[in-house]
Amino acid sequence: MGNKRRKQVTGWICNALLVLVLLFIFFPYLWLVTTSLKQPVDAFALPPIWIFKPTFENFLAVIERGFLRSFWNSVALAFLSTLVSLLLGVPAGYSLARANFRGKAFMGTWILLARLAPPVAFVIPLYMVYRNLHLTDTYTGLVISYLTITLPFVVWVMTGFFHGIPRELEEAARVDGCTRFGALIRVILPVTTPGLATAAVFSMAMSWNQYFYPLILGGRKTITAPIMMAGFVTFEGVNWGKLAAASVVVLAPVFAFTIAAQKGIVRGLMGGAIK
Amino acid sequence: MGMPMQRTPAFPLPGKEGQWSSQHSAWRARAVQFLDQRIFVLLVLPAFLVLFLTTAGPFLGGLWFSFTNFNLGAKETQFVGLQTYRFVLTNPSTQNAIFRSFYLVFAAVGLEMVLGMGLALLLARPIRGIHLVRTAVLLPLMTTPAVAAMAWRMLFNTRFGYVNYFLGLLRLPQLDWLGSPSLGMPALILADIWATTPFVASLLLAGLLSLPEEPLEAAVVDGASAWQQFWHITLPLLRPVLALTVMFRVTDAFRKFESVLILTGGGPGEVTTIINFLAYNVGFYFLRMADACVMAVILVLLMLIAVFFCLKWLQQNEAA
Repeated sequence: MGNKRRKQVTGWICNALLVLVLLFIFFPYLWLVTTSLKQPVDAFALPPIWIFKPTFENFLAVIERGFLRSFWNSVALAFLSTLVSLLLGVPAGYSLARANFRGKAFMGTWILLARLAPPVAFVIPLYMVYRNLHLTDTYTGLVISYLTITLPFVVWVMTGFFHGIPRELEEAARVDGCTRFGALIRVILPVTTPGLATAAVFSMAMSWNQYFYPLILGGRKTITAPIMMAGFVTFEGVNWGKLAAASVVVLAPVFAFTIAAQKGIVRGLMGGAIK
Repeated sequence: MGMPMQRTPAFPLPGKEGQWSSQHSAWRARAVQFLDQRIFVLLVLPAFLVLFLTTAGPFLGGLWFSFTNFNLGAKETQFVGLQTYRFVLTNPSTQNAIFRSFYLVFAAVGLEMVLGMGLALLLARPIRGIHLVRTAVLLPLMTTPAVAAMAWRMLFNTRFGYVNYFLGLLRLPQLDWLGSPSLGMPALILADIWATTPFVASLLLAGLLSLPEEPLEAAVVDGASAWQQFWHITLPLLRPVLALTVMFRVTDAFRKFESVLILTGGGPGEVTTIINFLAYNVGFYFLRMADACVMAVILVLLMLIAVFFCLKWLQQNEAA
């Protein structure tokens, strides 16, 4: 009886700890959402006011400042870099998962290192080249810089997913007379849809979350939503309400991505390293 | 990461069976065969070329700059050999930044691995609604780092921030988180723990859930305590996942940027100026590009060393 009782108590303690962790995780989000809906006076009130009349003033003020344009820039950049990353990265991931040609280990290592490398190692020469080619403050320039992050990631994610698909599938297709490429297009890709979705969502989220490259290589025309969000610090001191409203708008798509891809996220992060 | 050998085509290629008789078709068949044999190289080549151009090219460019005295503010750029390296490496600011990078990496990643392991064990229990909790835990790891840094900056605010408010409720001393030199790094690490412990926990949870059950059952039969099971069975089995997670976290901590720029600005003083942030500052604020490139090269070397050891750790266990 003592043993059973002890197990029960341990279970309660674990649940209580889990609740504390969840409170810690959700606390900044809760703070952002409530602050974005508060009047300036209430935003600074301590002890915090939990029940208040919500106002959308902050959101309207943020939109008036031209936040929607930066939002659109972020959307366009996320889509463009994801499109290019998938077109290049999916075939590459398939090849690295299946083939055994000379130089494969080198390519695999390079892609892993590119995925882990600090962007500051690339940004100075990129900046110099961009200045000469007039690529600063253009979509093209930013998409190219985003590729250094999203492309290795897509290859990494897709290699992992292709590893999980039995070889027999494409061998059957090849017995039926498909070329290898035909087998990839007609047989393999359709069953990799969850993997493709995960790679796409990751690529979107990573482009969306970018701060370093757009800060250096972007400009007024291509200003992205996170950069503009941080800009609310310098106008007229720190305006918490507007800052929080902008933050909520930036976070909304990321939350949608996360919920859409929840099952694939962890598998994608593990990539081809561990099965 | 051993890969089975590529197999020979399992079907007769067109042309071999004499389906096509004309010269044209024979060429076509040969072209198809040629492409089919080399398809794997052709599939990987575009991605690799683009990646090589966008990463190796700039990196080599930066390596070249590191041997010059390139400065956007000055007119002439000359090859100066190792002079820039000598200047940068003997500079107290750089030494401080390297030290701060190691401080951040060891403290943050160490704490996150321990806390992440704990959280993973909490999440591994088959209780009702646990799937929802596992999804909720994914949110911080996808959250825009700039937004997280901004939120923590306001939460750490001395007068109006909720962190101090809660400390006050608990009758603990209220601290000047972002203004006191001894607290800059702890504040940065706390924000990092919030952002990435869920990442660590999610990877370790995936590892825990895929462990074979037999060794644990055998240990239970032998009367091992919960702690012994964890320490002698679970942890060794988990080592590949641990190595991978440490590799991701260490490289990520070395290149941390938004939270330094937005949360602490590298301060107070230089207590949170890690080498990644110093390189950015020196390059794009003071326009001393050569110095920044030297720092970037140092950072890449540190990253390579970390990756090397983690991969060794990872593969050692695959062999065992």
